[in-house]
Amino acid sequence: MNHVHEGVLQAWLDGELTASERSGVAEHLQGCLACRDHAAELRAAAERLGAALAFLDTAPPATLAAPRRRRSFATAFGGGLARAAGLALLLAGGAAALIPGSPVRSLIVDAWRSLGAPVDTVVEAPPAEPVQEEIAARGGVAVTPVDGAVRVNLVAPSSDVHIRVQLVDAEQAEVDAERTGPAYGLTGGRGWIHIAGIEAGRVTVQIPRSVHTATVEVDGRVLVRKVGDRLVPAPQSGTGPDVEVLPGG
Amino acid sequence: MDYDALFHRLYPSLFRYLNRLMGDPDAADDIAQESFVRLLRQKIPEDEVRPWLFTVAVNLVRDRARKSERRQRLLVSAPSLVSVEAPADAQVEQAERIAEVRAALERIPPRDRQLLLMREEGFKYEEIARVVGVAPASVGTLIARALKRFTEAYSVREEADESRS
Repeated sequence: MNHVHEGVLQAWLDGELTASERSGVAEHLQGCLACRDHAAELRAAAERLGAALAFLDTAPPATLAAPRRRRSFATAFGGGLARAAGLALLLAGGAAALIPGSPVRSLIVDAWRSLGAPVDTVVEAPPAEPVQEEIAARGGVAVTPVDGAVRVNLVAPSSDVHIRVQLVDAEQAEVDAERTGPAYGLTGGRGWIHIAGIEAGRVTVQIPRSVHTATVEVDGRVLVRKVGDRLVPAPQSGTGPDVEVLPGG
Repeated sequence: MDYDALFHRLYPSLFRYLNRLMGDPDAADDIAQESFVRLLRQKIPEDEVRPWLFTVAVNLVRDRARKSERRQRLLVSAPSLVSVEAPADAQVEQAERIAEVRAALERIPPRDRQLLLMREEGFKYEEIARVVGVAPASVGTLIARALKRFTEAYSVREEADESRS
């Protein structure tokens, strides 16, 4: 008697055979103890492998929160304006940034002044208690301290804008995106986040306050650095995408 | 193509595959995410995305292995100064189990590892053949042989453990 080839038996076990091939194998197995034993061995080996591999499994590192799609932010102030504005970004360093006279506030104010804008709208007044809800933003940009985290809101009106957040000494950060394109994706690893395929809308990046040093980049261009409690806007240069720092107040 | 949905659908499987292949969750996460970054730059038909991602990921694993060899040589002269507390018994047992499986996987040829791990992720033979670079008709035979080799490698390890205890 010709036995079923080992590869065919394996394919039969893995559901890779056509209906006619399956019935042929099944018919043979009914009358062939050797092939039945062989099939049983292969099945047992596969089960043993599966059980062994399960020992290796761990949950993926919680580097990124699942992105959430919400209503389009662009409609709140006009898609045309959003596109004309280019990429807008505001960062503030949590509560320290919200305290008048703080070094962080000064840095942001200086950066804002360099753009020729009034300084009294840079940030909202500090909340007495940590806020659970984000401060309402104008111009699509706001920064709020939330449960010990720094919340950074960005407007990325171009679908080809890529945003990268570099975290030097933290394990986790979170990103929410309101409106994303078909190529939208969040990727990340230890100390970095890459956000791609954003359409007009708001992207929220939450950097843990415990992060001592962080860098926010768009298309490889550093926009701002967080060093301790200080936020240092990078000088504007002629390279990279059209980036503008806007007030959150 | 809904990239967001693809990411959420395919990332867990890719991460699991890479973690099993490499034994390093952080590296597996890095490579899985880098593979998705590369996907952004490509226009791949949706039904081909999964094997494409796994192919890219395996290539990245190889690249990292080459770099890692160089790095390990550098680390020889810089031993870790971090002190480690004694782990609990359950942790020791778990670590031993993991080491046994890892050792068994490392005893079999790399192609066998790849075949078995891809099969575990539910790939069809045709997809496995494309990623591994073998004829689709040979995949069943190759998997059967790989299973035998793994069983032998795992048994050798277990027998050695039993004789020690």
